[in-house]
Amino acid sequence: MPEYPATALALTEAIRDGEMTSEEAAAASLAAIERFDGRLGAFLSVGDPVDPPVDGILRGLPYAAKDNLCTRDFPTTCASGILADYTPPYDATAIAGMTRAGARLVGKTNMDEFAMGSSNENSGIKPTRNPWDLQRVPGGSSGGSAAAVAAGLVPLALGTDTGGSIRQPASFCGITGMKPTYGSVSRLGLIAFASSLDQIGPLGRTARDCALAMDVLVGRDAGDSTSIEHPHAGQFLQAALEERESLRGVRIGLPAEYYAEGIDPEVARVARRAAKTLEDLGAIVEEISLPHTAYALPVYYILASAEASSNLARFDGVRYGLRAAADDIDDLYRRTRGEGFGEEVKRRIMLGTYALSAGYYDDLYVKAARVRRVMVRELEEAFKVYDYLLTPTSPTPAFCLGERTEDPLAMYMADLCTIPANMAGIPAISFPGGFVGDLPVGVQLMGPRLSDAGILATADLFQRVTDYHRVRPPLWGGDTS
Amino acid sequence: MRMSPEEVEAVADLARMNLDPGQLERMRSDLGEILESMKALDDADVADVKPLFNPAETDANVTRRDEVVESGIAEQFLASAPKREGDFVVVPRFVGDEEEKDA
Repeated sequence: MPEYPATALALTEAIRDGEMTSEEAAAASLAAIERFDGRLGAFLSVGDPVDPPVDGILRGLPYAAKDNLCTRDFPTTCASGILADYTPPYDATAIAGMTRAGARLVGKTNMDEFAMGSSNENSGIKPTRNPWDLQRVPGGSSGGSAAAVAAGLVPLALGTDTGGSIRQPASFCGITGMKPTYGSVSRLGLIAFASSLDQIGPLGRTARDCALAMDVLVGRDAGDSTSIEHPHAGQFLQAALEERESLRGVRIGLPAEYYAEGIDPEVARVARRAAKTLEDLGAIVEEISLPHTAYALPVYYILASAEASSNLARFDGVRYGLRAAADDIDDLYRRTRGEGFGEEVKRRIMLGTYALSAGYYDDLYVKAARVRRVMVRELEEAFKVYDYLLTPTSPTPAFCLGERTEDPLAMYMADLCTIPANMAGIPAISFPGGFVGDLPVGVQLMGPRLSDAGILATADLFQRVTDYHRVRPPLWGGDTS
Repeated sequence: MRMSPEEVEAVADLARMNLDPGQLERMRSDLGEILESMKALDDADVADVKPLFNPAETDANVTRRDEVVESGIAEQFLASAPKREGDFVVVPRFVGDEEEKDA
C-alpha cells in the first residue's frame, strides 16, 4: 500500500490494483485535514464524499476544490460575506467532470475573496498559512488549494488562475500548478472574476498529476461559449509519460525582463539553474527581450478590475446570497454590497467602475486593451522562434503574513511574472525549481496557445532528473500538538 | 493623481456600493496611488492598435436556439432567494408612490 499522502497517480493506481479502497483513501485525506487544518486554514468546508466513486480514471481519488467553483454538496462562498452559507443548485462543469471520472470531493478550499489577491489574506473568513512556515502566506488566490496539496491533505486540488492564482501559490508552497490555454476548461459554474482571463486548472505534487487532471478537465462545453475543442484532450498524461531521453532541438527563451529589477536575485538564480538543467537535457537556451512586459501590471489591473466590476454587479441581494435590510430596492443594492464585500473587492470594483466610466473609458480601459494586443503580439513573435519561455513564477519566495496587507501595489507585484500568460490566453505551469533558504521557489514555463501537452511533458522531464518536487514541508510528520 | 472626495463618492454611487466615510477616504488614497502607477501606460504608443478584449478573439457570434430547456433546478434556485413567494423572488417595491413602499 502506498504511503499517504501519495501522488494522485500512485493513489489511483493503488485503488485500481486493490491495494487501497476508495473509502480508505477518503478517510486518510479527511484524517489529515482533521489533524493539520486547524493550523493551516486551507479549508472552508469539509465533508465525507457524498456519492460512491464512479468507475473512471480517477476512481476513488479524494480531491479539494477552490471555493469559487459551484458545488451542490458543499457551500460555495468565494470566501466572501456576500455569499456566506450559499450552496449553489448545480455543480460546475469541472466538478461534474471530476465526479464522472471517479474523483470524490472532500472539501472546498480557502481563497482570497472572489480570487482577488496574492496571499489568501483577503479571505473574508480566515487566513491560510504556508505549510513550509506557518508565519508565511501560501500565496493566492488559490492559496487553500496549494497549502492543502503541499501539506498532503489531498493529493490533488482544483484552483483558478486570473493573473497567476494557481501558479504563484504553487510556487510559494513547493508544488506544481498549471494554468491551461484559455478556453480549454469550461468556466461554467466558476464564479467569474475577469472572464477574459479566468481559467480553471489543477494543483498537484507533480506535472504528471496535473496531466492526469487535465485529461479529465479539458473539453468543449456548450455551456461556456469561449470553451474550445483542444487537439490534445484526453492525451495529456500520455504525453507526459512518453519515453523521452532529451529535449534535443527544443528552444527555450529566457526573457531578460523576468530576471531584472524587482525580481529577488536568489529567485532569478533558481530559474537560471532550472534553465541550465533543461540545457543539460539538450534544450537550446537563449536570452531574449520582451520589453512590453513592463506594461503587464497596469494593463492587468485595469482590465481585470473593469471586468470584475461588471461581473460582480450580479451580487445585489436579490436572488441569492446576503440581503441587507433596506426600505427600497436601490438601498437594498447599496447596503448589501457595502456590507457583503471586503476591502480589496471594493477597491477593485471602484477601480473597475472608474476605468469604465464616461471620460475614462477610452483613456484607461480601451488603452489597456490596446496595450494588451501589443503584449500578446510580442509573445506570439517570441513563440515563432522559441518553443517555450522559462521565468521565475513570482518575484520572491513566500512572504510573511501582514507584510504587504497595507500596500496594495506591493501585493500586486507578486503577479508580475504570471500575468502575461493570462493576457495572451496561453498555457503556463509552475513547478518546484529549488529553494531560497528553507522556502520552495517555483519556476514557470510558458508556451504558445494549445501547447499544454508539451509544457506538461517538459516539466515532467525536469522532474525526472530533479528532486525538488519530492521534498515535503516540515509540518508533515512534524509537531502534532 | 489624486481623486477628489466627490469623485470617489460618484464612483461608489455608480457601483451601487455604500462606503462609510473612513472607507471613502482610504479608497481615495489607494485609488490615487494605483492610478498614479497606471501612468506607466502614458508612453505606450498604441493609438493605431485595435484593442484586444478577449484572447479567444473571434468574429463569429456564438448563438443557440431560443428554446426552453428543463434545468431541473428551478425549485432549488428559487429556494436560494433571500425572500420568496411561490414562484417569485420578493424585493422591496420599486415602482409606485413613495407612501406605498414596503417597509
